[in-house]
Amino acid sequence: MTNTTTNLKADRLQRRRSPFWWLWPLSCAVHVVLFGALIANKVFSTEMTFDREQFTKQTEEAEKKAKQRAERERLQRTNRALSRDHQRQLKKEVERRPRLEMIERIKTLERIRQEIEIAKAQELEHVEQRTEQDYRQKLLEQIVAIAETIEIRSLQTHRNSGLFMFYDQITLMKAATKIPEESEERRMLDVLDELIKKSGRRLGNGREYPLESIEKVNAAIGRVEQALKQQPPGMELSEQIAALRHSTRRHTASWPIFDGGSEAVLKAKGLRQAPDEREIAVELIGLASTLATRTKEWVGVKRYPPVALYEAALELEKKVREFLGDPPDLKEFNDVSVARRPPDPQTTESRLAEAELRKASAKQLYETARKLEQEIEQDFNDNVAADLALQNNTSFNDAVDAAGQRMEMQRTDLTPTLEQTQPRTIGEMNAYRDSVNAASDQVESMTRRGRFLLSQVTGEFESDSEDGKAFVEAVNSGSSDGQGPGDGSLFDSIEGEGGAHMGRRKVQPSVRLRLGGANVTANVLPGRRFSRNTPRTGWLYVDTWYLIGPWENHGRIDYTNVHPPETEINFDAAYTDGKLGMSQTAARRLRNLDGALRWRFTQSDTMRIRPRYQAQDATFYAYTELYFEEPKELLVGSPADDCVRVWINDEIVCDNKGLAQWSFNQGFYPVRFQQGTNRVLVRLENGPGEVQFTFILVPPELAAQ
Amino acid sequence: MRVQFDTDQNADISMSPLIDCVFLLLIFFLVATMVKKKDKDINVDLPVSTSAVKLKPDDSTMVIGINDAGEFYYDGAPTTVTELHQLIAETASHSPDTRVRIDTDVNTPFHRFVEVLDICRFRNLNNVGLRTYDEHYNQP
Repeated sequence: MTNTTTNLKADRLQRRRSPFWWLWPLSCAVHVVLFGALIANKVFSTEMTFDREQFTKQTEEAEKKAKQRAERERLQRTNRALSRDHQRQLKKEVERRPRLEMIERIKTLERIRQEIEIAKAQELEHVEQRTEQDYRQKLLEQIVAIAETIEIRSLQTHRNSGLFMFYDQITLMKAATKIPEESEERRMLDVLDELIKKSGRRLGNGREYPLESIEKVNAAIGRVEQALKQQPPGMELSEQIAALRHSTRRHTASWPIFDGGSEAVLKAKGLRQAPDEREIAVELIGLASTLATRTKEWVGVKRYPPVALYEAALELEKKVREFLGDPPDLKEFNDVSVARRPPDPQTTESRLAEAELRKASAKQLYETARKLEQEIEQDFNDNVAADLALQNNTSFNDAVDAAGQRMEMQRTDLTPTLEQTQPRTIGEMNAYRDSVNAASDQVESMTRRGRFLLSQVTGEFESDSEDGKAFVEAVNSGSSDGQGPGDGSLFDSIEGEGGAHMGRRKVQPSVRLRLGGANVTANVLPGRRFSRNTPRTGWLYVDTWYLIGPWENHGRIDYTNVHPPETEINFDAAYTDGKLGMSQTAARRLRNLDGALRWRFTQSDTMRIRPRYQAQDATFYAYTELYFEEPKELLVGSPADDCVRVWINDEIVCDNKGLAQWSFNQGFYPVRFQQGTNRVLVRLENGPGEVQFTFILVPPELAAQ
Repeated sequence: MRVQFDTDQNADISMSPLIDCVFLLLIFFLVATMVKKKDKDINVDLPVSTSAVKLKPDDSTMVIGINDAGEFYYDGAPTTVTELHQLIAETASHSPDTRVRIDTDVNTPFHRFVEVLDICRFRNLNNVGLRTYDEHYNQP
């Protein structure tokens, strides 16, 4: 028993397990799982492959989506409705400049119309005052002129026939090259060639063609024909010989016409001196008739087309018969009533007064300009007809018919597009803006055409208007060649609005430099980092700026009115107190100014820095930094349109007021730049017109002079 | 006969399997997991270029990202224009040879790219490169 019990006890002791016996199987399981995971990760991980086509397709889809998004945004902007006040304000802004331009041009058109009307009245008076004596005298002059024409035409016909004969001979000689050199025929052709060449030279010198030469030519041709009979030269040569004989015949036939022309002139002059000699007139009629008959047979012949000679002969006969006949009824002959039209109510003096024009809408101005152009055209056509009637000695009505198509300009009628009473959305406003600008351009074209017509009437080119001259002088005096006065160009707004509170700018530059503006403009380079060993030297301008604006300045320059950039430069700031209204880019795109302003990075490839969105009566700011390797004192210029205040490292270095156009030589001032980064802030004040400025550094060698 | 059972025996915990598991876990995570680095990339559609030069990654590279909306990122984090100016100025002041990498989207407004280039150039950071699409690195 004991042994069994002991054995049992021992067995129990052996069989009792540790409470943590499960760690071993757990460990094995974890081994298996983790290794399995590792293996699975390596085996089943897929290689990333690049599919270019898929990438391109994704890119195209992204681009397409971007375009669609941009188009949706554009449509949203275009269809965005405007408030009533906004509509009125925007329409006023859009119309302002084109209306003023049209008013100026309407004044010019009115002046042109008056001048053409005066010229027309003078011509019509000459037509109305013609007498029977004038009529007959004019007829005689016409008869003489036609006779002289006949003489000239005769000479031309004579010469042409000789020349054609000459050409025929050349053709014949070319064909005759088949004839052997040593043959008799060849010798005869050489003689013929020599004869006609001499004659051709005489014709070329305008001399009379000697009759004996013709006879010799004919004789030579006869001998050639005879010689070639025995040996037929072939169809081509025979045809050429026949054509040459035909030419000589015609040429000799032109002799009487030649004589007839001279005779006609003699008789016509004789008739002019003795207008009562009917016999001379009758002889002249006979001569003209004979000439016409002789030349008629040539009409339609390709090689001898004296059509003008034939027509002149007929005309001469007609005129002489008129002279011999009864004079026309002067009342009907001198009637110019068709040219006297009542004035158009739209273009009366009162309607064209300054005050009335300023009150008129764009559409009314455009219609007025069209009416003026039509009136100018009509007056011009009447002037031409009157001139023609006087020259041709015909009635005014016949002259109008003879003038043919009256000069009328076909223009696109923009009246329907200008009838837009009140654009309600941005899209409609843009369309209205385009139509108003197109109307203004068309009125300018009308003005140019009016000047051209006036120059045709008077024979002179019309000079620019006084206003235009004054403006051009103002611009030229402040041109960029630096030759103008140092205080820049000054002008008052043509519009007479907006800049009314801004007076002349009187800049007293501290330094005056003798500059070649064009040379500087061509050679100036951009730069913002300056060191001793920099490769860029000479004139340097700052091309990189952060710009912000516009703020409203109500046409006044008030530097005490401080805006946020003067207190803090934060490129991420957004301001909402900006100017409201419309702005125009350089591409004449309008943008609605809603007062929201942000800094915008700008880099210019020219000296003149222009904010992207221009605005009148506004304030802009520009900020940049310059780096100097060592402290430096330089002369700096900041020409601007209109005026600037410049801070460098928070110190005011330049401060001016008043209107001025951009002019290169608006003055320079010394500035001491510190080593390292220098902050430059420019406050730009603008009145009417565009806004721009420049920040330029003078080369030290020039400043030292 | 009475049998006395000894119930006071002490239970020993065997540490070997525990240690085994711990080491195994450690090795697994060491092998399967990459060292997490600071992600300076931003989500942009990079332009493609066949003439791009491959460079080794360099942690000291300053990465400036510009997305298609023209927003700036500095080392993967959004930043403002003013901050970017300051960051670039600071980097340039202590390390003018810093390599600058600009990541742009194919639709990034060009003037934003020019702006960054100009800032770098002004601060005399001339080692500037533009990142392009790498088929072995980037995922479509």
